[in-house]
Amino acid sequence: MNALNTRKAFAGGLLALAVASAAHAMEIKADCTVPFTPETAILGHFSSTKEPVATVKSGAIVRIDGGGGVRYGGGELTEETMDAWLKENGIDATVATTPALAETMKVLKETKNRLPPPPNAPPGTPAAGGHLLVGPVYIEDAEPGDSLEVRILDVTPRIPYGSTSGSPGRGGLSLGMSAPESFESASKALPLTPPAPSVPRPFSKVTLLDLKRNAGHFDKDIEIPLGPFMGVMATCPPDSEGPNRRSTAPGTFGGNLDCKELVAGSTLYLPVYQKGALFYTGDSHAVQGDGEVTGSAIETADTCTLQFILHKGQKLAMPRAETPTDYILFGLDPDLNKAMKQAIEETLGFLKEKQGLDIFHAYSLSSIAVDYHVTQVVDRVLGVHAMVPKKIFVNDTNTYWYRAR
Amino acid sequence: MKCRRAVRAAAAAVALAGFAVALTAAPYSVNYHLRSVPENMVSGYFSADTPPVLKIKSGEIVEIDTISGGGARDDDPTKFFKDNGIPLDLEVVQDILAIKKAVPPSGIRGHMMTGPIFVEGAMPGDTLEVRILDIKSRAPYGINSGRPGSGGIPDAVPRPYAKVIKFDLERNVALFAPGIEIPLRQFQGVMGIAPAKERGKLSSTPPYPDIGGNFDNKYLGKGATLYLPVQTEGALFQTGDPHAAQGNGEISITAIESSNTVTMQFIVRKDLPIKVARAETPTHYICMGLDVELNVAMRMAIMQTLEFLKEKKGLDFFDALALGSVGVDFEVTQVVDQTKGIHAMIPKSIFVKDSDASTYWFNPASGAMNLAVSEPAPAVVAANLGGAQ
Repeated sequence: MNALNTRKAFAGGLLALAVASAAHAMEIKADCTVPFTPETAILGHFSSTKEPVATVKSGAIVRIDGGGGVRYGGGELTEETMDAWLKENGIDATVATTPALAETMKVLKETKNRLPPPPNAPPGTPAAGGHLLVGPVYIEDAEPGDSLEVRILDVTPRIPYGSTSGSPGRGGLSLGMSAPESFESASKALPLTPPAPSVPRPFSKVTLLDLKRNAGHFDKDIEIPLGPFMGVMATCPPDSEGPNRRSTAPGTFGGNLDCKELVAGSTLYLPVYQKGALFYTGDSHAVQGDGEVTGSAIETADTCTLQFILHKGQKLAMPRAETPTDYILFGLDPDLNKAMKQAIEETLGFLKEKQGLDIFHAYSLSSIAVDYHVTQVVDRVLGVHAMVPKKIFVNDTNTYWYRAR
Repeated sequence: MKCRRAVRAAAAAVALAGFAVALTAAPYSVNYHLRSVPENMVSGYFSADTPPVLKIKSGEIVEIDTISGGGARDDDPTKFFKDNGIPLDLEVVQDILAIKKAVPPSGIRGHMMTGPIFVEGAMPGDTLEVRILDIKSRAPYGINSGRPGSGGIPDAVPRPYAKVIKFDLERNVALFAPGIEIPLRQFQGVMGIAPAKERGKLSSTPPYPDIGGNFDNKYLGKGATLYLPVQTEGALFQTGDPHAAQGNGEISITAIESSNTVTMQFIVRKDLPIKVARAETPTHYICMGLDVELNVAMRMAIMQTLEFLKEKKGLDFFDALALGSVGVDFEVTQVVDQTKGIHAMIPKSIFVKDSDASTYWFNPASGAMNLAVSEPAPAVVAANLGGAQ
């Protein structure tokens, strides 16, 4: 999609919004609000047949409550066990006083929108879990071949904590372990990388969130500035991905991109594959680093406020994104080398569309002015994203919908 | 002998350079100026056998001229400069022409580097701290090039290209194309030390976890610090591959290759043993992962980060891993130097009880530099190794 055209088309009507969006969720007037209930929620997959939770016109602003935060030390999940867990972890909240927790517990217990256990699983295996998702939002007139612009107006945690977990065999420490011969590097580099320590046991670390100061209290000496974003934002995947695509791996439809840049003020552009686009979101994060190396961010429950804008006939092959300062292109592949290559190719394509640069100019510019970051290495399909700084295009006028303060 | 001559030459050059130093009002005085003249250059490799061109004491400051000879052809070296309107009488052009004439290729493919510098007292087991006090472009142009078969998309570059990019040095920007300007952010692609003698001559093309070299890390510009684990007496530091700007990834195989003068302070650290190179900026700690496989480079960067957080911040494995996931950014350094790189950016600001940023030697806001260096304590490590030297 030509981002410039996009901005020209919509800049006029949204000046007021640009001012409002700097403030918190409650101050942005939404056209429609989606609560987190057993009916709106869906666990760990995208469905093309689930009843829409909202049907909206292009331009509509939708507020969506996400779930999360329900961690407990095994046994039956009840209000008592959950409250005990909160107390143990020094969290000043109870299920009764925290709607997000009560809603999440109800969803986990009651929702029918979950996949059955795999056919080869032993009898008695519970139904599959996975990301706590909400959707779909049906966008009127959206058809395959269009693209959907998702403006992220606000993302705010609903609970005063989040948790970060890891387990043996997961995360960045198990990367490339199937190719130990690559240690014989061409450089005969010394000292050689020793075998990675594996994660010895599952762990989960709770971080308290101070929303007033926008900080996560990692421990008594360490505070992390929050950058809440939704790990998963997706249009319903194409039929070629199967009827109930699991949400773990990101794809051309977006999904579990886990890109830390997609905070309030950013925009995600997604291809439309199904009538109505069928937008899903979930996997609430309070903050994450590039790489997401344990396999999780600070996982929490967020409310997000999104504006959906439909671009008829503007076909996209891959997701793209934009922040007030950068254009973002993605590369996705199980092999990080190939994800990097795709991110480069996406960048060259974008620079050609946007600025008319031939391959040599685009390639050259990508080498000297574009930053490639590791998005995540933990979602089976790994991600690299390219950050193309807007400021290098010195003749462009800034008409982006949001101005960072 | 060669060494002493070079120092005398350098002392004379300092006198000449004094004017420029006074103009920029640098908060330090330079002890030596190492020029990029043929006798001060090494072509393509690091080796413990390369005679040093300068001997310095720990804490001393050296201004080092480096060159990027791209564009100038061997058969007609002046043609490139004439064709591109670059004055032949520029000092850096004269240096490039003299080096083309007088420094034959070594047979080892790599960079044209200035050095090596012998740092007195540096012994295996020590760490060489390299502070980058200043770095400036020496020429008003740079070159970015690429070719089929290499770089980030080796099969998609139709033919070799070399793009000459002019700079506006007053505004510190590269004039890439109509409507596109890139802020200059100079750094040295290669900063490295000699390997232990038995490893022979190592090409400067790939970066190495211990001796460093071709990191091509865009953050290693003014105000950054590089820590290298010393492998041989005197460390034997070399630098080259000057860059005017580069993105994370350096995907075409080159940055804006351009000639720089870099001012560095060298400090022998007996108190900071490391196995793998690390770096630091006013705002971040940087840990590095290097491997021919990007996946493995990523894992190594994670492991280096865990080790750093354990060592410096006392975090246990789980906390370090969790912090690595939520508070540290992993970026692609480069994918083009045979051995690829990923670096972890660990923000100092998250350590709220520490004064990591405010006790750093450079304050970018005020420009203030604290370059006082305490005499190195008598080195236990060096004494133990004395017999082996």
